[in-house]
Order: sequence, then structure tokens, then C-alpha cells
Amino acid sequence: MPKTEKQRDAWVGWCGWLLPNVACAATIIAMAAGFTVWSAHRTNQHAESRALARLTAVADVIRASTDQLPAETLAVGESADSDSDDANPETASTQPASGVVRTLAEALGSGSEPITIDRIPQGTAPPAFGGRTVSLPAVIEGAGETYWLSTNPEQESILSHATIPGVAALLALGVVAVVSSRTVRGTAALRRIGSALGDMHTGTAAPEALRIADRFGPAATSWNELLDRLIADNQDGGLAFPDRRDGQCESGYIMPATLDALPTGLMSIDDEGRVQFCNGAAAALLGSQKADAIGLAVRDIELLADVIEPIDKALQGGHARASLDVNRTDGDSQSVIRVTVRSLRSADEANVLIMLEDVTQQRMAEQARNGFVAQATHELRTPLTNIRLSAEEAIDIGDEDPPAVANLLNVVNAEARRLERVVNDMLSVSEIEAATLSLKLDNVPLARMFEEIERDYEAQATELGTTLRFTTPAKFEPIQADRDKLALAVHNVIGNALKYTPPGGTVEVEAELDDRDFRVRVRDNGPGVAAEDHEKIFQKFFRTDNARGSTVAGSGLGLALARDVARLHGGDITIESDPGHGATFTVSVPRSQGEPVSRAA
Amino acid sequence: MDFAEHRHGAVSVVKPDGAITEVEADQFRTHLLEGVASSMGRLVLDASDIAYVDSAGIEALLDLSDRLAESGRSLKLIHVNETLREVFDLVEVSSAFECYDDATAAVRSFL
Repeated sequence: MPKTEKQRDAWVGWCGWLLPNVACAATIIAMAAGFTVWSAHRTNQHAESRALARLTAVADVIRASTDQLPAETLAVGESADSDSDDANPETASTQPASGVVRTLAEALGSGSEPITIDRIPQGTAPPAFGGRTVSLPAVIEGAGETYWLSTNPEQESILSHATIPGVAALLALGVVAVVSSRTVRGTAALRRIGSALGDMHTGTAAPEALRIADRFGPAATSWNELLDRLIADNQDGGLAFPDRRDGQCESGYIMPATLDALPTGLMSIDDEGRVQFCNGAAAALLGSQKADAIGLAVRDIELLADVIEPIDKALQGGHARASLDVNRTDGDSQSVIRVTVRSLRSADEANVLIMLEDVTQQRMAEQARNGFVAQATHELRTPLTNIRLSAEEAIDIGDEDPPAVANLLNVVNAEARRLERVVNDMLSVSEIEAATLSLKLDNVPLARMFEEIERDYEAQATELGTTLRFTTPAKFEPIQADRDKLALAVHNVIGNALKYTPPGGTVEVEAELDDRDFRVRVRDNGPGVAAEDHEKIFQKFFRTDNARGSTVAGSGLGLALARDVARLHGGDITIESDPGHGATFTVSVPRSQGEPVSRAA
Repeated sequence: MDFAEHRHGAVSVVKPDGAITEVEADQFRTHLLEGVASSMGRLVLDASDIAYVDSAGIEALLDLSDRLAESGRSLKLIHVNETLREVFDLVEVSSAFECYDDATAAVRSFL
């Protein structure tokens, strides 16, 4: 965090502390001042009414005793009055100052305030009531109607009128100070939370450092509680706080749910050699639940037994990179799991990241491909060798022994056809793999097809010492199918039977056609197929242990192709076998394809 | 309910022999979850013979999908007929499954 920001935060914090206190003090002062003003006002009013009562009493007494007043007292006034008609009340007021009136007034107004008694001359209107003046009309014999005016000089109020707005302003200031201090505290807390969230996202600060001082108010307290919970969760392995201080985490904060969506298993091992974090895929590959996996000692995990050494090395602070394929047997299913160990070095602790990938299918596909290349090479080389040897021999013999040459040429021809079939198989496989194998429907003259097949295999059967018997119906109607593909399927099934039948054995091919289906049954008396392999032999590149152990060549494609072709036609291929006593394969396809279709495999 | 099961390489393809309804849903779920555990998630469900599913069946399928999703995988279905597709679309769960035309395509998705 930049220094200026720190200073600002310190200032804001200090203000947050000072402002409420100032505000409280201001409010108390304002309230005290307000009370003083109010009580002074009350006192004033009280004094006012008392003074008025006194004035009224004085005026009453004077009026009541007007006729008893010594004539000269009044005469003085009158004479003054008569001296000057336009004499003002001020001038007159001095007239009765001597004598009884003054004495009376002084006696009655013995308080702190002096009272002035005036006699308003005849014919002059009495001044309006107000202030401290009481005017009472009186009739004086010989003097006519007159007024007694009793006046008490107005005293200045102890507080001026400006005081009340001042007090109100002070009060308002206090309220504003309180409100603004709360607002400043609130926004400071929000800004701190915002900046902490940013730090958490980028991983530039340790979780502990994201705490906010509680004096920033309830929002800060709540944030701190939330942070405590996050930290606790993190220790349970539920959350991953990024740590970018050493540039390890580029993507920032990663939610566990994101890691669970990965098919690759991820585990992190802490410096005590225990599982700190583990995603769903890792738990599944370990064969346990996520919750159970966390806290497991890495030594107790069977899968990691072979990579313990690099893990130890990494935990001791060394750099370790290891990748190993571990075989795992789970009941009857075999899995290959690639275990990769990487050391993760952060500032405060050394830990290890373990990645687990299920590579079983990849391994199997690789094996099958390698097997196929080996088999295909063999399949291609055998007929080629035979062709070359036969051709060389025929050249050597020359014109000397025409029947022998003809025989050799037959061999060349047969081997060339075999080569062609192997190549066709491979092309069909690639078509199937590319999902482009389709049927070209045509009327297939079955009788001719079987004649050709019989001719193709006659020589081979004789050579192998195997009896090959064909049983076909006398009347063989054409069916609707893909001629080349169907021939390929039948070829593959018969070829397969011949291959696995020991010398002296018998292969029977029986074709039949009923109202719905065309069926070819091929029965051999070879080693047969174990029940558990019945499904597998139709898989590409699969060869039974027997086949692999024997010298019989095969691409592992023949039966797979035959099944694909049968299924494309809407039929199927089945096997019945008694291990040790041969097997019977039945290819069945419907007589007609219903509608002209071009089905993709 | 019977299950035909065969392997394509390391992937096991399980084919139940009928509709998944309330009666069979539990058995279906149990069997398939066992399959998921033993094949380490390398499982494909062949729906050729599943003519239709009811709500219990969909629930079972979703449970299976959830279990696989826990370890970053998904439920792969093959040969899903039009009725099933419509049901999945109607209750908006199509996205929970991966549908493939045939076993080869589904198995290849494990590569």
C-alpha cells in the first residue's frame, strides 16, 4: 500500500476518533447554553410581571388618594402646566417629584428599581401602555381629568436577541458533526474493504494482512468476521488463497468449484506431508471422497508410493519434477494413472503439487496402434515374401518344367490376392474410423460370389491340409446388399476359421437363405474362443491370448470389419464356441434393405 | 433390469435392457454408480434399448451426471432415440449429458 494512502487512512482514523468526541462536546455546550438562555428568559418575564404589579399598585394608590393630596402638590403641577401650555410630559414629570407622591412612590418601590410618577397634564392623551409604564386616569378637583403615569426605566435583557439563533446554529453544528463523522467512518470502512478485496484478488497481501481496524465501524467488524471465516475455511482446504508475491499464481483467485470441474486430479501437499487440498478428480482417482482425502498422509496413499522420493525432496526445499505412469487395478478393471510431481515454492512454506491424470484409454489406444503397425507389417511382408520367392523360383526353372512354373504362378496369384485383401481391410478400417464407410446397394448374385470364394480358398485349404466344405442351396436367389463389403465380411470369417484350424481339421461353410435373412455359418474345429472373449474378438486390434501366443498372423481387423459390415446391413455376427472344440460364427444380413440407403458407419 | 456390458479399450459401455422408470430407477442408479467407481469414470451409457424414461429415470440419470461432474467428467450417452431427446429437451436437461452417435465416437472422447 502506498505511503500517502496509509497516511490518509491514519488521518481518517484519527478524524473518526476526534469528530464524534468534538461533536459530543459541542452538543453538551449547546444544550447548556440553551438551558441558560431559557431560564434567564423565564427570570426576566417573572421580574417584568412583578415590576408591572408594583407600578399598578403605585398608580392605584396615587389615584385613590388624589383628593387627599396637598393642594400645593397639585398646584405645582398645574402652575407648571399653566406656565407653558405646550409643556411636554417630561417637563411636567419633574413637578410632582417632591412631596407625598415622591415619598409614596419611593415607599412602594422600595425594590432595586426606582419608580417615576408623572402626571400627564389635562387634555393630553395618555401614552400607550407598554413596557414598564402604567397609566391610570384620575379626576382631580379643579384640575379636571388627568392621568397618573408610573414608569419604571426599561432594563436591558441580560441576553440579546441574537443569542437564540446562535444557540440554534451551535446545536445544528453539533448534529452535522455527529452525522458527518459517522459518514466519514462508514466510507473509510467501505474503501478499506474495497482495497482489501482488490488485494485478495491479486494475491498481493497475505489473508491476515487484509484485516481492518474495528474502529471503522460495524462494516469493518463484519468484514473481519468474514475474513476469519475465510481463513478458517482455507486451513480446512476449502479455499485457495492465491499468493502472487512470488509470481506463482497468474490467474488470481481460483474457486474450488473451478478445480472440481477439471478432469485432471490436483492435490497439494503441505510441508508435513499431508494432503492440503484435493479436487474432485483427484479424490475419484484416489478412490475416496474429497473430505476423506484432505489430511491424509502422503505416505499412506498407495498410488503415490513410487513418487515418494521426489515428493520428499520437494518438501525438503529441493526442486523436484517427476512424472510416472502408475498401474492401478481395481477389481477387474485396469487403469493407468500418470502422476506428476511439481514443487511449489512460496515465501513461507515449501509444498508440493501433484497432478493425476487417467491415461488408460490413451495407453490402450497407443498399444493397439503399435500392435496394429507390427501386425500389419507382418501381414504385408508374408505374402510379399512368398510372391518374391515364388517368382525367383519360377525364373530359375525357366522353360524346363512348365507345370512347376504354373504352380508357382498360382502361388504368386493367391498371395497377391491375399495382399489385396489385407490392403482392403486396412482401407475399410480407415473408412470406418473416419465414419465414411457406406453401403453401395446392389443385387448380389450369391451363387457366383460363393463360387469365387470357394476358388479363392481351395488352394490355401489344400496347402494347410484342412478340409474346406461348402454347403449352398441349390437355388440361390440374389439379395440386395453391398457386393464388395459382403464378400469382404464372408472372406474374413472364412479366412479367420482357416487360420485357427490346425492341420487336418475341417471348416464347414453353410449358406442359407430364408424369407427374411441370408445367413452364412462358418464352423471350425480350432481352439475355440473363451466366453469372456466373445465380445472382445470383434473389437479392432484385439487378439486373444491364444492367437497372440501362436504363430498365426492376423491384423486383428478381420472380425471387426465383418461385424461392422453386417451391422451396416442391419444384420449382425454372432459366435458360439466350446473352447477346445472349435467355434461357429454366423453372419446374418436381411435379404433386402427396405429402402435404398447409404448408411454411415 | 439387466445390463449388457462390454469394453472398448479402457472404456466400459453399459447397455440397460429397457426403459428407466420408477420401478427400475434405484437399481439402475446403483448399478451405474458402481460402474462409475470401478471404471474410474470411463463409462458410456448405451441407450439403444432405453425406449423412454420417466421422472425417476431422469433423476437417476442426473444423479449419475452429478457424480461424474464431481471429478470433472460427464455422462456420455450413445444411441439416444428421438423420444429420449425430446424428453431431455422438454425438461431442459440436455446439457447435463454428452450424446454421441456410436460407441466409437464416445470412446474416442476419452482420448
